[in-house]
Amino acid sequence: MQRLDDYINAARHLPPAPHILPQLLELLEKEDADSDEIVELITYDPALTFGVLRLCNSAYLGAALPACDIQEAVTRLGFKPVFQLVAAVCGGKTLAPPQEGYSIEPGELWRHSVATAVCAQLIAKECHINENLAFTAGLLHDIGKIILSEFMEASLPEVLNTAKNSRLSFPESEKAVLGVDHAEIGGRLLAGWRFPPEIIEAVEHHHNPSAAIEHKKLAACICLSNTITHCMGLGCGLHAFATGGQEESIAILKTCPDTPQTLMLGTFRKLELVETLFTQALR
Amino acid sequence: MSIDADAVNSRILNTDTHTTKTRIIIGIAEIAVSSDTLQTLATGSLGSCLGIAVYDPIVKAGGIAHILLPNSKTAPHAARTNPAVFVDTGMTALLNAVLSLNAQRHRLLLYFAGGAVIPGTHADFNIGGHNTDAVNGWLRQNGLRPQSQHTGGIESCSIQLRLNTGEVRVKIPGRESDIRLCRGSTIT
Repeated sequence: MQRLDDYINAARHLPPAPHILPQLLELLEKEDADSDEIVELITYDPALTFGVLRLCNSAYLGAALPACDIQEAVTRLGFKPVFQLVAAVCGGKTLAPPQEGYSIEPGELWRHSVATAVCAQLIAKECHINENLAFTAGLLHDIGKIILSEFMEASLPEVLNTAKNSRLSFPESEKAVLGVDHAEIGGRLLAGWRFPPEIIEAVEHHHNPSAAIEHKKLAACICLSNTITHCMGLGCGLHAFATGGQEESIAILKTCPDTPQTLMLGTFRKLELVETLFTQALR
Repeated sequence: MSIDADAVNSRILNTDTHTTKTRIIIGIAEIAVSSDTLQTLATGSLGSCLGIAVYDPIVKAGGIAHILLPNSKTAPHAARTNPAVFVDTGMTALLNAVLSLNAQRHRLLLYFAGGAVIPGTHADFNIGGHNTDAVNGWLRQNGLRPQSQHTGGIESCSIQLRLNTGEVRVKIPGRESDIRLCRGSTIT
């Protein structure tokens, strides 16, 4: 734990915290969720409101009449899509920059993250997992790479060599060289930002879901979504295929009827949304 | 299988007439064909997908399909509007599009790359392997043979075709030099 905090405290470029997401998730999970409270929380941030309305009125969502405010957007689309737009606008600022330590190009981590979020939502629907939590965990699963990137700049060749010579997965090799891996760092960062425990655990164990204590299913959902997006070529950085946890994820999610091919096709069909969110986030 | 012609045409780009750009990037389930010798066609990162390049060196016309999955039988409705999702329907669409640029079937040179495999995973996840098997099977059935290929491995790559020479390169991030599947020819 101390080692994780040491890395987070030593990082020169901490990503901006998407503070609104844990607060919104908490409101959405309440049985008597008050729409005014949710709208007020979003409207409090003018830049966020502008970003959400721009996405809401984009060609993809095909609104015949543009929504003028968040209340109208919520009425027209419902809470779930609006929450996803909020998550996308917040996540874009955090995830779009390049991460040189991992050889991740500008926008590459963001595109991978949105595609993972979209795929996680598809799996969540089939496996009776909370879709908002799955989307958010998918979006933020690699956030630890932003912290570790600057430390990786000197260590990447060693990490890659260790993976190759010792036949380790990329996260195992990260851990062998740096003492921590990006998934653990991500979980710790999100805990500091007061995200719900489900998301923290799913992010922390997205390469080894059976090690999760309470939320194995959500961790397995993110592990599989991550794999699917890599298969689609929407990966990020070097050696991105050398991950792990697929077998155990399938065992944990035994209720999921979709084959990987169906999931790839489903995610591909939602790619237009991915592209819209991706483009908007880079503006 | 009935084909939605308008929807299909929107996914097959004849770059001779559509653009003045010299480097055309082909996204997932897209096909681009051209006989503009100033152009280079290239896929994005392929992962388990396949990038299939064809080229007629006499008329200098060619194309690339960026294919996601092995077989249209798994989702025929998707193939109707978007043939390049699948190997079988995508190959037919790619060849038809290149032949429409006066290329001749017997002169076509064929190359492919991609089909990366996640090590040690469940057979269902070996989509790269299934894709590679599917394209080899399709080519055999249709009496065609690839000149060369770079498939499998755990690294995602991309493929590009230069229309003036027919040079085909495979790029792998992090590697200093490309893999050349065809040197191409400058003879005119």
